Amino acid sequence: MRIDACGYSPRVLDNVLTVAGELKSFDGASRVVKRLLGVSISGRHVGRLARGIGLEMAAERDAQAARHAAGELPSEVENVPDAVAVEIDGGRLRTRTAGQGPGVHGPAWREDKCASLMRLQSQAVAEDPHPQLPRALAQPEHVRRLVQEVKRLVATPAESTVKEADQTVAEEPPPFPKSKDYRPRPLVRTVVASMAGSDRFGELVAAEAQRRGFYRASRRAFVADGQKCNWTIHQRHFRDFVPIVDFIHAITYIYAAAMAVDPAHGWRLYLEWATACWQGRIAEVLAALRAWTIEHPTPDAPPLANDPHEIVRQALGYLGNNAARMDYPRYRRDGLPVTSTLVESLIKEINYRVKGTEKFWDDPDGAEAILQIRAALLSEDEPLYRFLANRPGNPFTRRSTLAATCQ
Amino acid sequence: MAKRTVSTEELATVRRLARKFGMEVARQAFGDSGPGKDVDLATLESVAQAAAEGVALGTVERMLSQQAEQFGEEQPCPACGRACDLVPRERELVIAHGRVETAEPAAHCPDCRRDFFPSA
Repeated sequence: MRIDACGYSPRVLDNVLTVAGELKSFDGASRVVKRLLGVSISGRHVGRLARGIGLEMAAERDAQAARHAAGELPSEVENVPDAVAVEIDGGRLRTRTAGQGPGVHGPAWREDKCASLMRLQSQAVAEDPHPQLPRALAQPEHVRRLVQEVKRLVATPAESTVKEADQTVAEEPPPFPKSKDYRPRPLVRTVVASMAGSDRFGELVAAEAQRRGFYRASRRAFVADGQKCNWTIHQRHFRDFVPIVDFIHAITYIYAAAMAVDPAHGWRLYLEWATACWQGRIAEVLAALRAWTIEHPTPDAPPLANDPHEIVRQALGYLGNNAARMDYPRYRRDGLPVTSTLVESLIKEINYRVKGTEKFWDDPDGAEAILQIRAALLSEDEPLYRFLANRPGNPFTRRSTLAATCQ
Repeated sequence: MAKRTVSTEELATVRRLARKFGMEVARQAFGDSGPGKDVDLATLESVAQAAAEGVALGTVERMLSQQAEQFGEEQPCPACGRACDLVPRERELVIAHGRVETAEPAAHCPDCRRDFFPSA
């Protein structure tokens, strides 16, 4: 009968946890549950339910990963997907040391990792469907905003230099006609999120990919930024997926380098290099940057902040290390994504719930639990209700985790 | 054991039956001539809501009671296998349309010194 230890039906639990995972706080969830469902439940109790069920979901996910590692996890889909993409990225949230009583003890920033697994609707074609740089990426304000968003990852030129360079843009003609939408359309998305380290996270994502039959798809993409750990996951678990470095990250390095090497004509240089990168000619950009470094040897003194040499060194490192994953014309021909914007947007959706002023999660269980709830809500195959309706019962306490939370 | 799921067709049949019952509820609430023009939609909806809650609670109470009877008078302890007497234990469950009172079968295993609940 699967009667819950707390006496809530699966539908009620689904409603309570949905509200708990969508609103900013458990107290807010308590108020909404009372008003919409007529169920009186304190914010503290909502939090305990979310933690208990979230950890149960994490345990089930871990069991799925173990079955996959043992080669015993069957695919749950009947129709082999045509095109799929796995995109991964990391966010940050704040934690506190667990078991220290009320208040925040040992506050810390920790990284959470997220993966978006999507079936895609797209077509492979013989010719590059969009060889021109997209219109948005040829608009100075838009590009500058993008760079600022990613700038914590990239050394950028001084603000004054950028403004000065942008003044030259007014003289430029409008670069390109409006972009035609050539991008693959995401169909069904499922989400994996965890506080686990990179190695473990890769195993969890691989198991989910296996469950959804991704390894049998005809066209497969693995999209991420250039961080080394992402490509270690690719090598270990997604070796036969086409590796694609997010184009947006690439152009933030290109933009910074263009502004650094020629502040007077930086924007023109950016357009030239970004277009080369878009058209799969990253080798030309690398050659230009290397030529600049030869013409402008690094001074003996330690580099200053926003030193052009340092900016170019970083760009050379990033673009050079990832050059093999930047064959964008081929990816467009194959109907695969060239940016990781969907997972970037997913991170924002997760952050909406887990990140905020005075929001600290117990490390690691509290954070892991809310990530499971949030990931389930952002997945499109209703994993939360499916899980709640099929939870194994415990004849002694009915629910080992919840029994404790309901005292 | 009986099947675990109910088919879409069976659910459609249940929905049709409940709809007929809803028409009877309307007759009970406002008589054969129906609600007057001065009755607003919010009032009509409150009647429908009460009917839906009543149907849901009655349905779940009945089904839980029938399931409880199927456990018989004793059940083996899940840990040691000793047959233990079942006694009904009053319990309130929260479902989507309200709260239902149920007599959940419970047992105590003297060997394991703990209670167990076959309905888990």
